[in-house]
Amino acid sequence: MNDAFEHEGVPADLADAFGQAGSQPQVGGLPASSDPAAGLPDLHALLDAEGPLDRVASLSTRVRWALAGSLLLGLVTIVLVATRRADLAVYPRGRMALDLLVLLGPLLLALQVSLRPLSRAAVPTSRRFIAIAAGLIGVGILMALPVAHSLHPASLEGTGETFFKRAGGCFGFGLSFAALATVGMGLLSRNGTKRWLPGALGVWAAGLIGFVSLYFHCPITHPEHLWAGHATVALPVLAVLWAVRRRLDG
Amino acid sequence: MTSQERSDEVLMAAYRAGDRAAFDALFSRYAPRLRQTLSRRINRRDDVADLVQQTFLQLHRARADFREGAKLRPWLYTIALNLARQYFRRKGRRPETGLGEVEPAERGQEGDPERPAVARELHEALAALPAAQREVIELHWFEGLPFKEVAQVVGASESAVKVRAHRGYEKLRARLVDPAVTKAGARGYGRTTQ
Repeated sequence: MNDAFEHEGVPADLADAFGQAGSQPQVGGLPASSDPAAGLPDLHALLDAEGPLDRVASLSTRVRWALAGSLLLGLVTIVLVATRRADLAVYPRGRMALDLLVLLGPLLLALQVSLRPLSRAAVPTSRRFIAIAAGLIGVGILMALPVAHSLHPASLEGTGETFFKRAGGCFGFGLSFAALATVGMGLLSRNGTKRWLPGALGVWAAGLIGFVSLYFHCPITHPEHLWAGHATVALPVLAVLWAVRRRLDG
Repeated sequence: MTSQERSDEVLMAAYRAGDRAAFDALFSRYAPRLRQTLSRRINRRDDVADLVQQTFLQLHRARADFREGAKLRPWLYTIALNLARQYFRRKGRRPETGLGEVEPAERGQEGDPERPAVARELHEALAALPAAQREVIELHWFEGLPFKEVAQVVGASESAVKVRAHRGYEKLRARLVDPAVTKAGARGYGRTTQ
């Protein structure tokens, strides 16, 4: 039975001093003998009141991964079908593979943290920072790479007088896709609360999904445009989430 | 076979198959222990009750992830401790050192006037340990989890957990095993409440 606790390695002198060998000392807290069913009726009420959104929270981790993948593919497909970048045919394939590798690697890391079930040991804070840093570095690398090409007239726009207009347009486009992805990540990520808000890594993943969507939409290859209109997409979503969470927790 | 006799894993399998009574049996079996575990970290009784409830709510929601052959107990403790971490993150606080709202009569064995003092001493010694060592010792000694399950809960290798436990126990021994404490302990402090 489960009560047959194994006590491998508890020093005998400590065990003797603070509890009989093979038993647990009571240190602080409530006694184990308090009403075992206390709180059960309330829990039943919560379970009985679960609606469709709550049922989403009962999806298995595999299904969550599949849905997160579908979310990414779905948004990218919408972009490719409805509003794909004009230079797609001439964009160097090797460069595109490198770009996507640099973006999808950090996205996978962010998803790995945000979809991790609560029944697995918590990811250390350092790994959360690494996941975000990997995304920042990935985006930075992408911006720092030489201009991918100048083979299409649309790729040369977004500088001079049209800089702010085009950068603003891309920012809005990426932000709207990131916002959609944030809603999806809110449903899929394991945040352990009843609030349908993803954690920071979930929002970061959503921001990267918005960035990838934008990648397949905008043909401009000029670094200044990419910095101003593309790289900034995740930041407002993170800022709004931070503000909302602070308000809710306050 | 009564629910008392069924293993955690059998009860979980029954619950996954739709048996609500199996869930209730798991709750009755583990809610008191989790209350005790969490109240070592959190002083507020209402918050502890809420976290225990959340733990079982998350157990319910994670039931599709529970695989045949897995042990339920480390699974459940992992959920509870993750929720406790989220609680502290939300509150912007560090784990507390228990004993806050707990009634004196609940802390110790009746009729032993020295017991609360001894409990406090052990509690303070635990609080002085690095968090990683404290967590391992609490799970291993107070919750009775074998090192293999402790390793699963804290997300480290079994050997790493043993090293942490060894170092933590050494520090506790250096601080606590003196004649006065041993005398008080020998009079009955720490008798199991299981």
